Amino acid sequence: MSNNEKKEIIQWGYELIKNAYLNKVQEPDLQDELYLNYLFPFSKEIYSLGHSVLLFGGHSFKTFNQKPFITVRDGIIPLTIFFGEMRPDEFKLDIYIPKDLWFIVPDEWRGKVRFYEIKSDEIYSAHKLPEKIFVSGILNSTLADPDQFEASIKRLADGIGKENLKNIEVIAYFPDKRNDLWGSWEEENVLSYSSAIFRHLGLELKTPRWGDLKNEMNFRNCLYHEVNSGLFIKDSYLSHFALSRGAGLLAEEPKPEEDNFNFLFELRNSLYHKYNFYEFDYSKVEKFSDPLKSNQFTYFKRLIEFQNKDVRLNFEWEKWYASYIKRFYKNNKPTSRSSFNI
Amino acid sequence: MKRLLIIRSSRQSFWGSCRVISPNLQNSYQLLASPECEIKFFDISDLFLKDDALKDGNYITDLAQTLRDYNPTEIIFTDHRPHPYEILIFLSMHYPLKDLPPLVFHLYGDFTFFAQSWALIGEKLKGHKIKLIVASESQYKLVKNFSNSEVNIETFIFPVDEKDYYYDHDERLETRRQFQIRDYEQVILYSGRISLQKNVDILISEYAEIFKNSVFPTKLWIVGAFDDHGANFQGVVNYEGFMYAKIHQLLESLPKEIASSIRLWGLQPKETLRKLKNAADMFMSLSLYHDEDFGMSPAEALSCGLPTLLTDWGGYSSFTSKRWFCNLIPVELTKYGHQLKVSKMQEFFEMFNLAFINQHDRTKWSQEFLKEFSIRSSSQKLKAILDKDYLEFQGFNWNLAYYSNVYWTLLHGRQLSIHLNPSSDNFYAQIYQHYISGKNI
Repeated sequence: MSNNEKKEIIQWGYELIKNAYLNKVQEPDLQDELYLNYLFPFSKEIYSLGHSVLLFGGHSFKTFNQKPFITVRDGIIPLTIFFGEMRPDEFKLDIYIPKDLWFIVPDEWRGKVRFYEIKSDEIYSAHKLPEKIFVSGILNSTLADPDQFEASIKRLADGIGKENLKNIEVIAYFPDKRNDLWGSWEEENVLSYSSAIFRHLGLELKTPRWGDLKNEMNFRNCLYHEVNSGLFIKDSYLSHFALSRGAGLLAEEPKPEEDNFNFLFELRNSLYHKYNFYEFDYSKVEKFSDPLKSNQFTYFKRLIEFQNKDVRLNFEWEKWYASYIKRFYKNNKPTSRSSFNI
Repeated sequence: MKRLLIIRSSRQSFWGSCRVISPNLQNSYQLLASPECEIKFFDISDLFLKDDALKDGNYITDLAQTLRDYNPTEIIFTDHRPHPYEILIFLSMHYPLKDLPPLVFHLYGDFTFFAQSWALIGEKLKGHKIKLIVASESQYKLVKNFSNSEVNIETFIFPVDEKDYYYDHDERLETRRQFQIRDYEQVILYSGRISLQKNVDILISEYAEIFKNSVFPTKLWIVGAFDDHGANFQGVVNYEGFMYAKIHQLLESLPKEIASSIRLWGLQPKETLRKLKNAADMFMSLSLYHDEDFGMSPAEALSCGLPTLLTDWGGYSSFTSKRWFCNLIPVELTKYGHQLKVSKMQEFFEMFNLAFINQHDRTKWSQEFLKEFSIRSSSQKLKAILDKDYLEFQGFNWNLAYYSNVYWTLLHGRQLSIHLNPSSDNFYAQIYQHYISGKNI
């Protein structure tokens, strides 16, 4: 790989996402594809009456504003940048973002932004067991630290019951990634991920390739679980893929902030799953604190930009950005009642 | 004595219909086993190259060794994947192709998709004794159009497993009771993928139009999974969720009493599917799918004795007969696309009501159909085909090479094509005019 090619890859982090809005791009460009390809198949397009979009996919303002509302599939990082770089008065339409990300909405955007979540008709638990479990996610320390990965897999195992898992077929799909993009395999704790999967879900796993999986039409009696901290994509293609073929989700404990949401309406996405839409009562939570306006962010951003001259150092940029966001929200929880864990 | 070597895929096909067709076909071959005919299956992974390289597989060398040890009189390829071209090209490194016994290839709807591979195979096997077995009269015409001579082409319609699909009156009554269908209510059923070219949206619209003022209480059951494959080779790309949104919006736009009479069942296991087919009164499909070489789901409906209305398109046209109740909707290819004579639906429904169909009719139609297309009777048809003399293959003609070129360019180009979008004035018509039989039954 030449240095120029490496430069393109390095730039995609903050700059790419930022420029995707500021340039008001008309066509998806090469850099967008890099981003989309990296997150494949989670980033694949979906069609929904809720006008689902990935903000960094090269959409123009004109396209957005033709719609009554958009349902944004992006995760924390693109949304944080979006809210930081754009002004709400530029958008005529309402913007719905994933419900779990209510705390990243800046004060000036709060009138414009509402929320949604995916609901499956089937909900599985230790009391209602599936015949199969389809577990997916990205084995990558930027998107999921080994500890978070293990916590998510453990939550699944505990939710279904370790004993019950012995009689349930487990299909694990963790897409291949290009290890030249975000560092090498040893950095990504592949052994820790594998160990977590085997310890909690057992050794008898089926690991299909995407080529086989993509043609599977039947996920009835199957639980879908995605290890996804939602840093880049919260509403993934793969969840729609499984749920629209009959899969269900794991039963979840109600979150403390649940009382602040008021249900608005629902939209079905398939015979088996839907979007529920909500508004949030911000009067009950504290003021927003902006991760991009902290001194720490400005300092590190300058440092990274300076280091950009040396390609070798900058493979860490996206990783640093992701860990910065994680650390920021750990230290600056918007409310003491928040149960959000990234 | 015959020694048949049947090369089959070691894994299920990703196509729902092929998951049924393939085992049924193999069972038909299995029944040919006798003191005069020995059968041996050779299982090959659809990823044999990768498996050979990464695992302990030696599929191709094993196949070459099997050929030497077993010395078959005929080799039969029953599956669409892995493509016979891939197998033969790698086999040629271990076994001279000219030394192979006569070859039999079962062709599927993806013959056009794999046009390039077939064009290449045509070159390699020119002069070799082969049989190309197609799945319908329409596919016969389509493949003939691509061939220098039709002498190597045989027609064999895929069998239905008589143990899975048959008419059972008690099951009909029980299922109707279970789903609260009153005796005087009529149920129209569609089963199969709900994809763009299957025209389920048109079926719903026409149903709504016919029955909005009808005095007959009627229901429409749609059984099958939503499929967003679109029509890639025509440049039509669908995203996940598109077909559901389309049907959902259509249902929302209908008057409530009509919309509530339409039920989407999703994908169902075959036992439930048989129950629903037994409980229903009519089967309808308006499919114009570009590779509809056969039609497993109408075949299963006819096995349950269902009066059936199908488009005069592809493999569907082969199902008409006076021995059971199957009518065709005329299809025309115009400058602007396909044209369906949808008034045929109304006529069909009126005819149905005049016929006073009872359980004896359903039983008779089911038995007559299965007499023709059960695994057992199909086995005899296969025997007759295999007993015919093998003739030297004359190769495919320029049409196939040209078609494969256009097809692949468009498949990867992902743009609307003036060549392959349905029209009477373009290349599509040259190929797919053979899918319209013009039968008027």
